[in-house]
Amino acid sequence: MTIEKARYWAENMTELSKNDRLWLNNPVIMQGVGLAPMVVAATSGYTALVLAVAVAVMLTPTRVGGAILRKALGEKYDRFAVLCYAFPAALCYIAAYFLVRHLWGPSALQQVGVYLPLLVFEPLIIRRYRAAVPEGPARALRRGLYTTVGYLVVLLGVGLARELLAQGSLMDVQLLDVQLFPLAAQPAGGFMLLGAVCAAWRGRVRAFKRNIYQEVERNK
Amino acid sequence: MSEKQVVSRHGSLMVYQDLLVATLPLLAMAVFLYGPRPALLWLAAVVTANLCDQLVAFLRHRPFDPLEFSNESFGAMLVLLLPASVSYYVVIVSVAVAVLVGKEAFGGLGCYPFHPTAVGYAVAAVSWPEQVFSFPQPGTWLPLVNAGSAGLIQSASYTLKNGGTPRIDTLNLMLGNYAGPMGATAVVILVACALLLAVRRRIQWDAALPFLAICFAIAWLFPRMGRVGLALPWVEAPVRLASVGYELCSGTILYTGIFMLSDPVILPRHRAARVAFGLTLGVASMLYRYYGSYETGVCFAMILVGSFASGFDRLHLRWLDRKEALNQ
Repeated sequence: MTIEKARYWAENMTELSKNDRLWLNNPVIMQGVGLAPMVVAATSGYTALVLAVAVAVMLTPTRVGGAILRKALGEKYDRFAVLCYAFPAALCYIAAYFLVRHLWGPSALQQVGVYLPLLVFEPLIIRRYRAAVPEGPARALRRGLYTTVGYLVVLLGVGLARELLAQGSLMDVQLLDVQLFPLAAQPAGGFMLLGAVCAAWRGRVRAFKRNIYQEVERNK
Repeated sequence: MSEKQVVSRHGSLMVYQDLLVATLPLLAMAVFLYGPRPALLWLAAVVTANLCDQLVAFLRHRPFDPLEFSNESFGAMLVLLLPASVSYYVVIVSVAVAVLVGKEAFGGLGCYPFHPTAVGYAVAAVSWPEQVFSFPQPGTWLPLVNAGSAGLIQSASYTLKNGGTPRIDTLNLMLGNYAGPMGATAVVILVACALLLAVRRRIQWDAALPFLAICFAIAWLFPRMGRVGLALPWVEAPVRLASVGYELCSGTILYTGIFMLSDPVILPRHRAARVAFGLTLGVASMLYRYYGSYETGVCFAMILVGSFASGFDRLHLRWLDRKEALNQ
């Protein structure tokens, strides 16, 4: 990294970190949201893909819809902020339900179980209602897309890793004859794996930030 | 670090050293029964535990303490709970989980709420039940590499769980000459290890005795063999006695009472709380044995009851407060 770039990063680290939902401020790794479906339901690449489609359909439209509704209602009715987000989330769930059923059939719905409808209450989808200042629809769209991408990367990665460790396959294609870590298919194994991923990811982010500051210090 | 803390730390570290040494006689018996394979498994466990310790020291930027044998003792205790035919891979993974997840993830030495050996065993049992609950016949010289081809049989605990009656004579039961975990069957050697640990003042009798006593009582009152049912406690005494022998000796109850309950970290601080802990663990272990999915449930019980250890202390303190208030 050039010194100019390092200086730019060091000066704007807080803002850049806040906006980077994929790497520096990933919703799962840094904020710990959306863990339940990932740990319990995303036991394979297939179920992770089903959940990913549902999250992609629900997250950004809910956030944009919530922002529009909240703005339309105004500050006077701010106590109904949660409904502004819950209502679009429930509508988007209907779309996600039929899309998943259309793409993979009813068996896909059974595999993800209650964790698909529970997405309506998932903090990942509706937690924006807690913000004191309502966001604009354009900003909601941009941040919703970033958050969706960040979440889907971890969700699909963890789902594929769990399938590989537990069954030795990737998207039902058998790659290994041995089961490296069968517990990965269970929620307990999911927690362990996600914990290891979080530890490694956070360690890497911390090292990245430290290197930036050290680079700037050296060239002062 | 104050002098008192240094002495306390040194004392607690010596516990693990003694526990590690105490596994050696059991290992020797396993080598006698199954050949050199158990020794290699033990070595794989200890080396894995040591490497995990070094890895954590590296990741946390702190010096590696070569005199701290807690990880090695957890690994050694864990491998003795497994059959001699288990694959090296299972040993390595379960020891790594025991050390990294069971101990280090909770803050390391002195901070873990669940016994790391129990965590590692639970992971192995859930992940590879076909390897963990199938045992070679004692006297079989197991191949060093692929022992899965050796004729494996079920343990006496399995027979009891399925309503059968094991046929093991008392001498073999005492010497561990029957199919079971490689380090948990030789009662005579377990007693010798208990004596060693008792002389070194490592055994936590406050927890171990109530634990063994309640297991004895449950096995006596509700034997799973001989169709005794809910008869009066003195009826069918020989059957009850045999039941006690099989329940305590054929699984890992005795081993747990001697080795795993000697770890002061997982136990409550106060004596009365430790007694309650031992009693609760005994009841939970026997319930797991009687009704659990696996025939060896004491490690699962240990994880379950371990989460209440501080709760026992709090209850005890509340009881003391109430007593003091009444006296005033």
